Parts: sequence; C-alpha cells; structure tokens
Amino acid sequence: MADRINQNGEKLFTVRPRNSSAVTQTRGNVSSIRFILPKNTDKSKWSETVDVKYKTAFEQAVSSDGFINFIAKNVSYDIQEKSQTIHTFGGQEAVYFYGKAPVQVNFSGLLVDDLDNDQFTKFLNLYMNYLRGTKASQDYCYIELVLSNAIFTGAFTGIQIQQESSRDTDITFNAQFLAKTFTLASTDTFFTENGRLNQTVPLFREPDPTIKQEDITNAINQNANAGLSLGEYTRSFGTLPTVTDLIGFSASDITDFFGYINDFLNNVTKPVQDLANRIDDFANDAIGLLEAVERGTGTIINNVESASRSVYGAIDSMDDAVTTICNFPESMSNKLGSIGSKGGAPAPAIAGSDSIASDDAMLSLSTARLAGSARGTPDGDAAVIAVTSSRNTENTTLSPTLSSSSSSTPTLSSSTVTSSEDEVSILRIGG
Amino acid sequence: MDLFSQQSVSADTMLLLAGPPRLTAEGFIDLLSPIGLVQNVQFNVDNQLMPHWEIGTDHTYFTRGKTVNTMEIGAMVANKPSLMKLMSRQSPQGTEAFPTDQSGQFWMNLDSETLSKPFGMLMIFKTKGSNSKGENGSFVGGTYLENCNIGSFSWGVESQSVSLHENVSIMFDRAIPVDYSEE
Repeated sequence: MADRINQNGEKLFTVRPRNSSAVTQTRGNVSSIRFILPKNTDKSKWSETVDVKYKTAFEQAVSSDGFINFIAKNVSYDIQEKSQTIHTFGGQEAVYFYGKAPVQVNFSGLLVDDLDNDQFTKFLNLYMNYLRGTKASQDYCYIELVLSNAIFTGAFTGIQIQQESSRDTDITFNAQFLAKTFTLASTDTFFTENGRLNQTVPLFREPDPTIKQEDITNAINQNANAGLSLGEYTRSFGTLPTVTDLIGFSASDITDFFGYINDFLNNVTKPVQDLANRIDDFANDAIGLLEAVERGTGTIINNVESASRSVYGAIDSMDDAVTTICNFPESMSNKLGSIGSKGGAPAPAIAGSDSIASDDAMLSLSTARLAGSARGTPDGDAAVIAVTSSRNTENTTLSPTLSSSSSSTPTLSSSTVTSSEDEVSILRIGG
Repeated sequence: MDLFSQQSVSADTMLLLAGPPRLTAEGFIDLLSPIGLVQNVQFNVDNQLMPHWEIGTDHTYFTRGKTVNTMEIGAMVANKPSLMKLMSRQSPQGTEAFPTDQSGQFWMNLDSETLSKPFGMLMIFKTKGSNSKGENGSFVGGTYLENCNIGSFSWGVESQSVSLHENVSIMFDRAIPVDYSEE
C-alpha cells in the first residue's frame, strides 16, 4: 500500500497527480457519463426497448463504468448562494440568505469523428435520446457526470458543437449540465483498501435528489417530538434552537443593557444636543434673512417688471391720444428709443396743445417712424399711432391726408375714419 | 579518465529499432526492425513544470503538467527501407511484411493510410568497452517509446554533400525503461 510523501513541514513539497503510477496501474480514471435508472428497474427490460442503433452506447451508460466515448478537456462550475441585499438608511445593509443555487457545470471536450471510433455520432445519439434533461426526466432518470475528483448529479441542459475544416476528425463540444448535487472524492481513497471512485467516502454530499414522498413522511414523523427540522436553514439536526441559544443572551439582558447605556449616552450626547439646538436657531435666522432678501429681490424684480410692462403698455396706449404722444416726455421717448432692435431718435416733444398743424403732425409722425419697437416690428414701422381729429363733426366722414415729396418719407394709409371726436382713426405709418 | 573512451556511450554504441506501438511480451522481439544509417537523434521530454508564488512569502511551489515527449531522427537515404518504411512495418496486426501502399525504398508520403498507425521505438545505450571479459560492451540503459506518431517529414541535399538526408519528427505517449541482455 502506497503512502503519502512526507511534506517535511513545507506547504507544497511534492505534488503528485491522482494518476501517479505509485497509486494506480491504470494511469488514472477516465471521465464517464452514467445514466441512472429508477430504483428497482430491470435493466435488461430497459435495454430491450432501446433502438439497436444506440444500444451499445446505452448499455455502456447504464453500466457501472459508464459511457466513456468522449475526451473531457475542460470543466468549470459555479457554486452560488441565493441572497438578497436590502440597503437601509444609515449606511448599513441587511443580507438575507436562502439556500444554494443549482450548480451550473460547463463541460467541454473532444469527440473524435473517424472510422474506427465514431465517438461523435455515438455521443450525440445518446445525448438526444437519453442524456438531455427532457428525456431523462420523462423516464424518471438522472445523469451522473463522473470526473476523477468529483461526481455531478443532474441533467444536461444544452450542448454546442464546433467543427473546423482543417481538422476533420476533431469535433469540439461544449455542454452545460445542471447539477442538483455533487460529491467530491478525496485522495484519501488512494490510501485505503478500495481506491475506486465508486466506493469513496465523500467529503461532501448533498441529499439524494430522488427522495420519495414516504421518505419525507418518515423524516417528519421521526422529528415530530424533537421539533421541526428545517434542513440546511437551521442546521438544528432535528430541533429548533432557542433565541438565547442562538445569540447568547436573553431579552431581559438586552433591556438591562440599554437601561445602563441610556444614562451614559445622555451625558455624552447633551453637549452635542445643545450644539445642535444652537445650529438650529442659527439656521432659522439665516432662513429668515434669506427670505427677506428674497422678498426684497422679488419686490425689485416686480418693480422692473412693472416698469417694463408700463413701457409696453405705453407703446400699446400710444393710440390713446395724439396730444399725449406729442407731449411724450423726452426721457420716455429715450426709453422707447432704446427698446427694440434698432433704437430710433426720440419723437420731438410738442408742447401740449389740443391741435397741431399738419406740418407738425407730419414731422411727429416721420420721426416716430424711427422709434422702433420692443415688440419686433420691422425696421421702418413705427408703433401704431392714433390720431384724434381736432374737429368736432357729426356724421361726417373725414379722410385725413398727408402728402409727401420724397420716397424716403413715410407713406400714410388710412384704415378707418370715425365721425365723432370720441372715436379714433388708426393710421399705420410705414417706411 | 584514460578509460573514458571505453566507458562512455557514443553514437556507434547506440542501437535504434522500430517495433509495435505497445510493449508486449508475446513475440515482441521478432517484431523489432533495426534502423540504420542514422546520423542524428534528438530526444526531448518536457513535463511543463510551472512555478507558483503566494502573496506574502517568497516560496516557490512547483506543479507539473502532462509530459510532452518528442524525438527527431535524421538518416542517410540509401537502397534500404527508409525511416518511414521501417517505422510503418510493425502495424498493430503484427505482420512481418512491409505495407504496400507506397512503392520503393524511399517513402515520402506522410499522408498515407499506413502512417496513420502508431509504432514503437526501442533505444539501447551501451559502451565500447566492458567491465567483464568477453562482454560486447556494457549495458548503460534502454527505453521503449510507446505510441509513436510521425509529426513531420523532410529531406534535403547539398551539392557538396555525398548523400541525401531525411528527417522525421516524432511525438510519443510515454517512455518505458527496459532491461537488456544478450544471449
């Protein structure tokens, strides 16, 4: 019987593989796939139902040695926990764990497609008719993927095949296997009497996935007096622990603890609390100041807005009375002149009068042409001006006219004419 | 040191033979064919040794991968079975006759059916002189190379050289130590 090499106190003094000639004459165990039939199944009867095309492959798969017509090159698997992270206020988080997710095994290798071995068709035939999950579960069977250091129990969920023109005989495959459980094989087995993988003492093994209803009933009955067994969730081995057992102290201990702490905390927190209160007062004062500024600013803005509205209103109401226009204060006309895209010269002020001569009116209108407008009237258009007739007539149609000797002088068009003093006629002057 | 020439292994005290792909006890000797006019032999074994280091220490740990075994043989071409013809003689069926899928003595077609089958190689290392009287050199070592496969074949000739040379490169599965005695 071979022994392990003394490592002389070092971490990795020697590294010998499982296929070392010191422990095995077979140069190692090849990988295999086993098709596990339901318990108490007559294998010979099963074999009779198998199509002759894949009978040999099937019989190998149900044997203890398994189906070996492939070359396993790569295995990777992911063992994940099912968990949920709940973020809470204060920077901490709560994490809930609720079991192990099924292990997803990625298994890849080589299928030799040649005259003498025919691995490619044998493997794929077996996969399509027995190994894939749908087919296996229809027959209440499961698959074992046997490697040199682990056995995975479950079913295949998919396979990809790659074939390349430069190497006709080498067909690579990549398969996915969902493992409900797995068994790891320690190398201890090589130093025991029976070193075959089938008889290993596993370091880890999960419950058999083919557990039946009566097995569950028996387990519950056995645990009825001892308490509820919740399996991996409590590790109670048949009984639920008390809260005191779990966390080491009781509710009354907690109450005493907080009562003691409370007095201590008061002494520590009072200065902090006082400071917080002072900050609070300061903040309130600051807010008051800001609000005052805001109100004042609002007033200013309102004043500006009202001024601008006044200006616009002034433009709108320029049709009220010509005398008003004529008596337009220079400062206001300056403001008008500054509004709009091209400011114009202010209209000349004419002393207040209830009548103007036509020449004066013409002059006023022509200069008003250049006043511009904040409302985007095109260059050359003056604001709307209303002229009130100074002659009080009744039921008389008036058509005021203006003549011009230059093409640069404004033209005048009349739109409506009223007959009473109270009504206005609107003249639009354009350049 | 005076006896070094008698005690050293040299090219003329080596023996190369082609044989069946696996070392078997039954009629094995009869299936061996000596390879002559060999001018150069290169033998290489690489176990893909890989060093590993760990954070925090200066220890170096070693792990080994699978062994890669290669060999190259160069020989002169003459009116005798060439390298590939000799190496294909011992088919898995164990027939003594040479395969007939290529003609002549100088085989060049590496793509033939016959050469898709593996073969074996026996190497014997002896000395010129011996420690015992009457002995034809002392046995230094021997190894049998199982499951040899030819990876490449080439030949070349130069105007100044007196002969044509051929070369084969081989990869094999494993080397098994053997003992050797003469009857």
